[in-house]
Order: sequence, then structure tokens, then C-alpha cells
Amino acid sequence: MIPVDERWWREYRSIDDVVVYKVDVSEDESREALAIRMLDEEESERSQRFVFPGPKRRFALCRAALRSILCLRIGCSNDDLKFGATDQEKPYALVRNEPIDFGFNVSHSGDYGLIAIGEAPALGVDVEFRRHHPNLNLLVSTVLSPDEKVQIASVNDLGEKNSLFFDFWTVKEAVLKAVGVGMSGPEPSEIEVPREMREGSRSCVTQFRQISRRNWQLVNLGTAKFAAALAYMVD
Amino acid sequence: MASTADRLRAMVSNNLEVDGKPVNVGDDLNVGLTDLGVSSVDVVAFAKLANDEFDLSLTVEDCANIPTLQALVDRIDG
Repeated sequence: MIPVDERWWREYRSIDDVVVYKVDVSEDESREALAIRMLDEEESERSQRFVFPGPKRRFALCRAALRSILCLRIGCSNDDLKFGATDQEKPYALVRNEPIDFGFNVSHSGDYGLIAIGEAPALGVDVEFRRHHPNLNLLVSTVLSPDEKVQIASVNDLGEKNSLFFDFWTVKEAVLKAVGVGMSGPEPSEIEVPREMREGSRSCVTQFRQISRRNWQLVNLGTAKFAAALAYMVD
Repeated sequence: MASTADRLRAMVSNNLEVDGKPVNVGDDLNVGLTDLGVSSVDVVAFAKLANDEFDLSLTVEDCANIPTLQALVDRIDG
């Protein structure tokens, strides 16, 4: 068990029964070494396959944080936990070979990692650090809905354009991750960010008819430095 | 004309970034996009760029599932 004052994650937001943790994935050799020791053999092999140090560090720090958070919530040991992924890359966790009965999702980008834990199995979170994307125009034409494109086109400042794009993208990606269909699901352009969120609301309940007639809670978790969104199915 | 491998290398380094630096894959193309740690939004862009550059019809899912860049070269040249 890692002492509280040595943990690199902390509770960031709590919404309904969902808790979102913010993970510090910035460079720290001692933290990374500790995190790597917490990984199982399969995870260690996966971390070794990363070509660049940044993605390797983010994976290890987020996976070790997830392990700690789940162990505390469930009351199990680190060795009891195993992770897998469906054919569509939706991650799942097993405790002593039994699937856990709540949802979790992880995302990381730049120095930021987010972990969401909640009762709903259909739960997704996405984070992207705000930056200039070299292919912004291509992405806008590919993944945004007609109304979203109009809104992006109305922004003159390139930095604001990029920022708004990532706000839209993280909502879409959080929904697609929650559904668990990965890249084989609906086109991102079909998951339109609701008008009220596009107009500045930080959260809303909506439906995506391409997915189901169930309601989705969407929450903008972003800051000036990163765009982030949470999506989960509600009754 | 440049080989498929060289064109793909150039496409990767000109369009993919990790931690603010262009992704230079060098001679060894036996790495996947997942191993490079590129984000999902970059995979979307990569699929579109590869389709335009090599006249393909890859879906984003195809790109995400291609095990290595060498496998993509083999698919293009095959």
C-alpha cells in the first residue's frame, strides 16, 4: 500500500456515484520505478514495448494508480487483480478471476492522467492536453458534425480553434470509450456534442440515438491546460 | 520514386508527435501505433493521411489494429 502522501493521484471530481481521480504522470524516476514494480508480467511486457519514454511512463503510472484505487475500493491485494480487454479494446478487471461489478476507465495525455470509477459499467473518460494539432483541419473535416464544424469555423484564433476542437473530441471519445466499441462503433461525427455544452454548459444529460435510447450524463472536466470529458449511462 | 517504407516513414515523422516531438521510427518498422504511444485522435488523422497518400480505404479501426508499420507496408505493396 502506498502511503497517502506519496501517492501520485488524488480525487479530482465526484459526480453522482462517479469519482474521477487526477494522476500526475509527469517525470519522476522513483515514482515510475515503484509503479513498474506494481505491474504484473503482462503489463510489464506491454510497458517494455513502448518505444518512447513518455508513453511508457504514463502507462505505468496510470495502471499502478488504477491498481491501488481498485484494491482499496474492493479490499483485495494487488496480486488478486488482473486486467484484460475485449476484442473492441474495452478494458475489464478481474479479482481472483471474477469480473468486478462496476465501471472504470482511464485516459492520459501529456502530464495528465484521469481515472474514472463508478457504478455504471458504461463509463468513459478522455483527456487531451491542449496543443496545436498539425492536422487540425483534416480532423475537423473528419470527426466533427456539420454544426460543430460551423462553430469551429466561427473562431478566428488558431489556439482557440484547437482548444475547442479538443473540447469536442474528448466528449466524443469519452462516449465511444463508455460504449466500449472502440474504433468500430459509430463515426465520431455522429456523436454530436449537445448544443448546451457547445454553448458553455459544463454538463448535461442527452441521448445518442445511434447508440441506444438510454440517457447519457456528460461532464466537461477540462481546464485551461487540458480538455477532458466524462460520459456515463444513467437511468 | 521513394519506396513505400520511406514514404510511410516521412508521413509518420511529418504528422505524428509524441510529447511535442515528431515520431522518427528509423529503419525498424516493426512497431505499431500503440507501441509508439500516439493518441486516438492521431490514429484518426493517420488513417485519413494514409488513405490519401497510398490511395487506400483504411478505416480508423483498420489502422488501430495494424500490428506494425511494416505490416502496413506489406499490405500496400502486396
